[in-house]
Amino acid sequence: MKNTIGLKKGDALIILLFAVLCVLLFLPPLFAYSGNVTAVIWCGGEKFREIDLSSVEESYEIEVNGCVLSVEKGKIAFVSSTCRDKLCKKSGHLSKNGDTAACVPNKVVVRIENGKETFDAVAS
Amino acid sequence: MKTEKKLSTQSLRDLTKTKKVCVFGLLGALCLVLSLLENLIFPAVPFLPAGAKAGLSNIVTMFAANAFGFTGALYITLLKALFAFVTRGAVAGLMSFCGGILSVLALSLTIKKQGKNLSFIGIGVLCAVCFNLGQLLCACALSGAAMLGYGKYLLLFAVIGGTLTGAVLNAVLPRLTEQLRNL
Repeated sequence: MKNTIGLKKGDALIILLFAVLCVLLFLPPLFAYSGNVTAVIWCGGEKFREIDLSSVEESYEIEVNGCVLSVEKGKIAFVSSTCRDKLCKKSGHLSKNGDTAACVPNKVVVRIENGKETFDAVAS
Repeated sequence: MKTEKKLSTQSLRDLTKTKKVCVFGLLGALCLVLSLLENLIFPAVPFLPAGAKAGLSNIVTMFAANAFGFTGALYITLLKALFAFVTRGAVAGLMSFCGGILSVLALSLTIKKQGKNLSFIGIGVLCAVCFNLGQLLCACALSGAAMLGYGKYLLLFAVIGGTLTGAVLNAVLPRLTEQLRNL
């Protein structure tokens, strides 16, 4: 009973495999060019609006399908939502490339992109 | 120690029907309490990405799969999805269902391999990854492929949460089995 949590070879292998996958997923945005930050708002799988966050002078709020988003210079955040669990608000301010926040019940997704990367909407 | 462990979980299968119902009642209740608790705790923790949690109720699902096989785990998963549906709404219920089904499939494929080279930690990580994958696909179907950007956070937390729950189950399994055996 030396090893109480009982980590075995197979476990270590599985953890390692997913950890490597994780690193591979987290690395690219770190090296991405981050000049102008664009927030892309999706609603029900369709592109709703693109906002160039770098050029926002005065902060304002927009409403998308029951969710209210606050747009400030360089960042965007969910302020309120009509959904039940409010997980979207918990995501806080999005400012870096690849940052994503979503309100699944209201079908609203916000993603930060840097203009170079194109992300096609696949209607599923 | 190893053979004793195997024997003791196996022994839950030949309980009388009434006792099995009891055990399932207890496991179901345990699962609901754990998911309720983590839904209270994790959203309140700062700096965690939205929706990140340890998947504590997966401990119960894995235990059920180990003690009663595929159907056992399926019952627990369906109960959990129903509970999410009733308490947190249709979307949460559907996401829990999609994740749960995928997770139970992974569980039933790997649970028999548990033994010398594989413990519940590896199984837990696999299940958690499958659970989150199911949820992610469900979310994508609901609100579009832009959700995929969230995948890396889900993967990270699946690995952490799966390791945690697997370690807990590794430690707790012999004792829990004994308790349930002596109902």
